[in-house]
Amino acid sequence: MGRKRFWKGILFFIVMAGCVEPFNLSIPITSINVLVIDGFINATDSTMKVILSRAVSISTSDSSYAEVGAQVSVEADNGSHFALSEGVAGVYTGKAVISPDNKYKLSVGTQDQRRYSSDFIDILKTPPVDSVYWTASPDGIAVFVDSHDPNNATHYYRWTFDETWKYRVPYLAYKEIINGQLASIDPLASKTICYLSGPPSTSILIYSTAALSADAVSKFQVNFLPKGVQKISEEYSIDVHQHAISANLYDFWLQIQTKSQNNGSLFSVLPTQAVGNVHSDTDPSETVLGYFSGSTVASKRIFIDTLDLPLYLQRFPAYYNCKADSVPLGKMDETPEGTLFYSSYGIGIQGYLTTDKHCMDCTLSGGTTTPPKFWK
Amino acid sequence: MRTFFFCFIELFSWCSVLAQEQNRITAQLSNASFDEFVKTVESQTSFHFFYDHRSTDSLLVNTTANDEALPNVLKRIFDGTRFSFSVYQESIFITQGRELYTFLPYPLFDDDVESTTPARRPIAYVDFDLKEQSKDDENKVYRIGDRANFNSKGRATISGMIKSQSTGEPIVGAAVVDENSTTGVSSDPFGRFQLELSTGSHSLKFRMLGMKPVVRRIFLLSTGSLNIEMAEEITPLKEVLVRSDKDAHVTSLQMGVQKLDIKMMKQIPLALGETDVLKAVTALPGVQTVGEGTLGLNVRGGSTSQNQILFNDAFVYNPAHFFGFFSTFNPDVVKSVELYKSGITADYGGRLSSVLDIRAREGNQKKLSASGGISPVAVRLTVEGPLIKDKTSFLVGVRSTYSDWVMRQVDVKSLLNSKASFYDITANVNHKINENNSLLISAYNSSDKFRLNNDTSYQYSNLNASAKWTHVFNSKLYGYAVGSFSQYRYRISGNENPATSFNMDYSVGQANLKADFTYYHNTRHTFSAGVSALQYSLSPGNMQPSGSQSAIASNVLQNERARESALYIGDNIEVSRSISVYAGMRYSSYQYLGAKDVYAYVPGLTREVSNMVDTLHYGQGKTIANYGGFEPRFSLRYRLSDNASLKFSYNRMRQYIQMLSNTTAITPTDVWKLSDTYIKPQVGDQFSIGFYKNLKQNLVEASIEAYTKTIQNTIDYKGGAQLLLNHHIETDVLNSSGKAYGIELLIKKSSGKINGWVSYTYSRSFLKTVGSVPVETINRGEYYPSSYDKPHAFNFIGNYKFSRRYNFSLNAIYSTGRPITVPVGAYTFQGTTHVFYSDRNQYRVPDYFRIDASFNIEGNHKIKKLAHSSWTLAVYNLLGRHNAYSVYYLTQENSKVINGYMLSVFARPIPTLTYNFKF
Repeated sequence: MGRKRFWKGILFFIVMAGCVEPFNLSIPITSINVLVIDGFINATDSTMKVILSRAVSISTSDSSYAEVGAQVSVEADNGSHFALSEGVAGVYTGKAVISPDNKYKLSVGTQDQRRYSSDFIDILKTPPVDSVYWTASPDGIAVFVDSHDPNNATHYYRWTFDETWKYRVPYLAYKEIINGQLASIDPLASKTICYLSGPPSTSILIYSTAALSADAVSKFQVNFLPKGVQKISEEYSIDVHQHAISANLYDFWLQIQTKSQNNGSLFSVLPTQAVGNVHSDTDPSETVLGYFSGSTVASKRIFIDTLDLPLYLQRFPAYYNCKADSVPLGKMDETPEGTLFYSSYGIGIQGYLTTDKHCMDCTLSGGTTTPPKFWK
Repeated sequence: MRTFFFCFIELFSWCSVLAQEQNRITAQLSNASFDEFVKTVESQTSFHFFYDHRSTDSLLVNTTANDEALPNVLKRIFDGTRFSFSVYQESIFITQGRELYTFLPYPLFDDDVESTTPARRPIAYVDFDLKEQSKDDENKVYRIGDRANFNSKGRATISGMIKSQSTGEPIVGAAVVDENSTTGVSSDPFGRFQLELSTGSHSLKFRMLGMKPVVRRIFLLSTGSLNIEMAEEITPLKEVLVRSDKDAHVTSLQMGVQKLDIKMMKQIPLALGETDVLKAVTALPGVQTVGEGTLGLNVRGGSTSQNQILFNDAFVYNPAHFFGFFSTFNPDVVKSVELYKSGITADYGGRLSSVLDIRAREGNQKKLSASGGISPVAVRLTVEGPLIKDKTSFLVGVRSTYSDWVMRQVDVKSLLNSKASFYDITANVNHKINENNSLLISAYNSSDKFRLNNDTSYQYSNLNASAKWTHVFNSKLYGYAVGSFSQYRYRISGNENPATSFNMDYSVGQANLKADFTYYHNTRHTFSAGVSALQYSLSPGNMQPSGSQSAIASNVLQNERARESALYIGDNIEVSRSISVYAGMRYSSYQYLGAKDVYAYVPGLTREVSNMVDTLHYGQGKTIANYGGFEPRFSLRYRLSDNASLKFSYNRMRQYIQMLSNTTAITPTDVWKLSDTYIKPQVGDQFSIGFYKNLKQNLVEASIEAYTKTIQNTIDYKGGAQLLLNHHIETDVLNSSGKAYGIELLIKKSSGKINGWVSYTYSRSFLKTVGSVPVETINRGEYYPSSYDKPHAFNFIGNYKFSRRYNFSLNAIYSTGRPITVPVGAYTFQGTTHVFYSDRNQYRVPDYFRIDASFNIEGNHKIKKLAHSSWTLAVYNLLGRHNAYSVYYLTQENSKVINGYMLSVFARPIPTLTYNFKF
């Protein structure tokens, strides 16, 4: 546990005389043909999702590519058998009635006639999330989770989260060029306020209570929102999903985490391949990466209204960088279709003011004007 | 005038002849002293003898004369001795070594060329270099042994002890040579020597580097002893070459041994100005380290925990200060370091790869003195002196950092609250009880403390003590008994968050008793035998909450205990002048003892928590696991000529304690594990062969050694293994085996204006881990290079003396980069990119190359002055080369790109200035 920080002492010498420079070994671009299996049974909504992909060489700039056309199925130790079907390339999904009393196993047959499977896994029961809450500091907002298992049976936890936020563009558009004509915009159809969901969380959020006297998680930080980001400019919502994980899966994540934090000192733990619970049936010595797991999922959503934040965090994001422009009435017919105007100018109306379109249309930043179903 | 002179001489000669003819004696003497003979002659003739009683006191006269001319009798008596006689009128002068002329040198004038020059040129007595010798002891003949046991055709043994005149310390490795027969030995670690010679007259020469040679004329009557005090050589300012007996390299039986004395180590330029015993050792062939800032020695492909580091006979668990940048041995206290890489004799055991025997100096027996120094990192002070003059002496050495100062100079926010400090103390008392008994008590403590960024703090310390009693039973048998105690402990404290504050304590210790006997049977056989008993006790982890708010549960691992005992015997056999053999056998036995709970697993399945079936409880002192076996040791030397030899050795070693480490370098928080039900003892076998040659009258030593080694039952860890606070460590470790081989070339010149060594080593070291299931198998079960496999290594250590006061040293170190495991691929799992690693140790960091230089200025050379001082200016990494300390890869934040980085620790030249003093 303490060893992780050991390298910092070495820093003392580095700042005195050391140096860090980019380094690239000339590793031949070998075709790394390693299957990656990312499978999960969600016992709460009875869904199964398996993502198959192939690892790529570090020397290429490609991201990993999907393994398509595989035969994927999940079987239970009571003999029941569920086939999964491919939707998006490499993503295989299915639905089944999952019983926590059964053990499940994943089977994969790839197009190159190789067979892979996982160990039998237990479907773990996740205790409910006690609370999700936040604290503010001048640097931003930290979001925490508390939970406990009164049965003292969980010990290993993992969290993921989805986040959605409401945001507002700085200019309210009220006129628009439609079919070459200046038309008023229905205030109900205004694209001033949008809702945007971020990608699922990618941080490795795991915690073990095995060393604690009670199976309780207290103030585990799941996310941090730095001061001034769009997410906290209007209203923010985070849905924290809690998964009970096995000790083996915890170790697996720990290995991945250790590696991504490897700073390269001689006192760092030597890198090892994170060993999951999937393997090749065709060739036992073949390296297969990934994990197949299953559990119920406990979720809790909270909302953070910017007005509830301390004043020092209530800052409108500065990144819009809007430049205003005026369009005299005479030039209206030269103005492109869809141009928005937020105001008129002059005595009477000599023309209209416009600005960068993304400053008036929130959908251009990726959001939608319709609030998600869960939005309060 | 010329004629007159001639006449005078002629006349004189005639006279003396006349006198001789007129003086005949009758005598019957047997084993009479020379004084008795003189009395006899003076009573019968008018002759009078002039001689030095001391020089003739061991001359025995055995003669029968019946009215015989005195010169004939004298000739007979002195024939074959070192004495000469000269007769002048009625005076007889007995001189030693050279004849006294009773007439003027001849030819005195140019035209007297026809006269023949005597083979032995007599000179005037004042020329005799008596003044230079210490006292008159050199001319005295020492009678050794008992006259009653004298057998003129027999052999007898002379033994004794060689000590320093100034400090009273025994002198180790001094050469004792009989000048007539040219047989010789060198003094053992207690300064003792033993030499078998024919009875009669001999001249023994005692030589040691840095000491004035001593010559003793002896008359060996029977087995007896002779003690020698050697004075330190205060060399006159004019260069004088002092040569000691250097053919030991060729003649000794031992191979794979490197001895460094502190003088040599102090010349090696080092980073941050601290002379470092272990760093000097790493410049020797066959010794590697994984990186710049580590002190773990990898000897001939062995892991760092396979070295037996002994400081005055007590084992040292962690020899590193300050993350491993310095060793824990104070250079002012160390006398010598000996590294045994192969041909390890039966008296050593317990570690596979090497024995590093570090000896501290004994205190000065004659006068109180102090020495010390200051470098950018530490201050040192050593005080020594007699407690009872010539009998008891003490030595205390202290070294400490003032490096919080250095830390404070670093303007990095994250290090503002960091602290690091260390100290070490060495103390010993040496007491000579009497001629035959002496006692050495030694204690040693090193301690380190550091706290990084105000959260986790580390403390670790070594505590060692030993008492050694040396007893001489008689001139053929001596022995010693040593009791030692070593403990290593560390504590990790986390105070970052009151809710998770903790203290974690760990300790490993051993108590050892050993008795060793050496018996000199004759020049052909020297037997040694001994017993050793060792008790290990470990407290392998104790985690406790700290503070009332802490929610950390206390987690205590059961203590571990074990007993290791050994019995050994060895014989050094001089088969012939060219062949010497050492044959030894050690039997070691090991018991892992209760009280302890041992988990049982389903037989035939992998040891995993899920396969645990039972917990077996063993009571206090119950044997849980029992191991043992023979450890044969064998060495052979075949002498090809006076300055060349061939040597071969084989040794098997067993090791019952292993270090668990999943980092490249040793860290203070590594875990030691005793062999138990599941973790078997390591067994190592090594064969080595070498060719040794001395050149230029033993000034240059050259050698080539080759070895091959196999290691069984070494342990590897599973991916992500938890090594600290693991109640069932057997589930996280794997059994592996290793092999290593290599060739070492060394050319060394230890004296002269230019001295130093050049070495080249080719060595390989591999490990193999085959588990029962694929995930437990590393690199498909093939041999893979160990983290310290560096095939090519080249070292140059050079020293040039401009004069007595100035000398310049230069090091050049090259080695192949160490193997690393690097990311070769990337994959996506749960939305994030992760790296995919190559085979273990498939790639290497760039090669290592460094040049260091130092310039040493000694104070003036007046013999009498208050303090001797010296300054050393050293530049480490003169070329400022960026040597890879490590290579690592980081995934860029918010992108899928993985970038490689190389970290260099000493990436620019580092100058340091060190001041040393002695008074």
